[in-house]
Amino acid sequence: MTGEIELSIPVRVDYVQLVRAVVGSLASTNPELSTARIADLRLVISEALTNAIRAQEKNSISERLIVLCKLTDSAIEVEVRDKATGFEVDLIPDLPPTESPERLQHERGLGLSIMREMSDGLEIESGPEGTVVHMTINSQNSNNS
Amino acid sequence: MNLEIHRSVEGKNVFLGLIGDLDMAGAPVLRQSIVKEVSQGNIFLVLDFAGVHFIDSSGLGSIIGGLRRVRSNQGNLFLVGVDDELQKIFRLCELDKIFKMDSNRETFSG
Repeated sequence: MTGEIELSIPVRVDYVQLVRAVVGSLASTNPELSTARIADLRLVISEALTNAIRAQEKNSISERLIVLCKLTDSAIEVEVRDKATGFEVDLIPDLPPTESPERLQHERGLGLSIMREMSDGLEIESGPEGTVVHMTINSQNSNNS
Repeated sequence: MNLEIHRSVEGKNVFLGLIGDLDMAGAPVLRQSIVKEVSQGNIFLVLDFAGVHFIDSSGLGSIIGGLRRVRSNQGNLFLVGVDDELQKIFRLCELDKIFKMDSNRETFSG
């Protein structure tokens, strides 16, 4: 099955779980996508939505978030769009090494690396008008999960 | 489903049985619970993940913060019942090197 859906959701944390469920259900209609790949999809979309919600909350922007999903025979592509003020991907600092006591001081900062590792393609376009995160999950994992 | 926490005490350890998703919505619930335990002097905590089948970076952040809190009070925090899918995420973030995990709840009983 192929298809496309667009979700428009309020900037509320309780909607993240709902979006995971809807997108996961769409993905499960493609028999080529394994349970593990659908779990990867649910994780990356959760990360992207979390970032979008945090960004809009930080800037007190209540405009709804847009989630696009496109299912093909060999992959599912998802896109999360927010209307926050954007960020510089290259300026996100690295976390301290795991072995360092300093590591426990950082509760945030894992989302982007999770999206990079779990997806088969990650593109981020960010500017003062907002951010678009585009991710692809192939039915055959090109990463090591 | 919102995160539910079922509390029990076994010996010096307080078990927090987590049920639900540990994400942006669930993380503050766990964070608040850990803060409350530590404020009451309960510094040896066991998080039982048997009822958790989803975790993201927000959830990971809440247990990193929990570990920091108990350790700063000379305590510790252990994880039990973490399923294979969740362990994959811990390994990906190299957090398996930080947290003491065991599949068997009885390891921390008594």
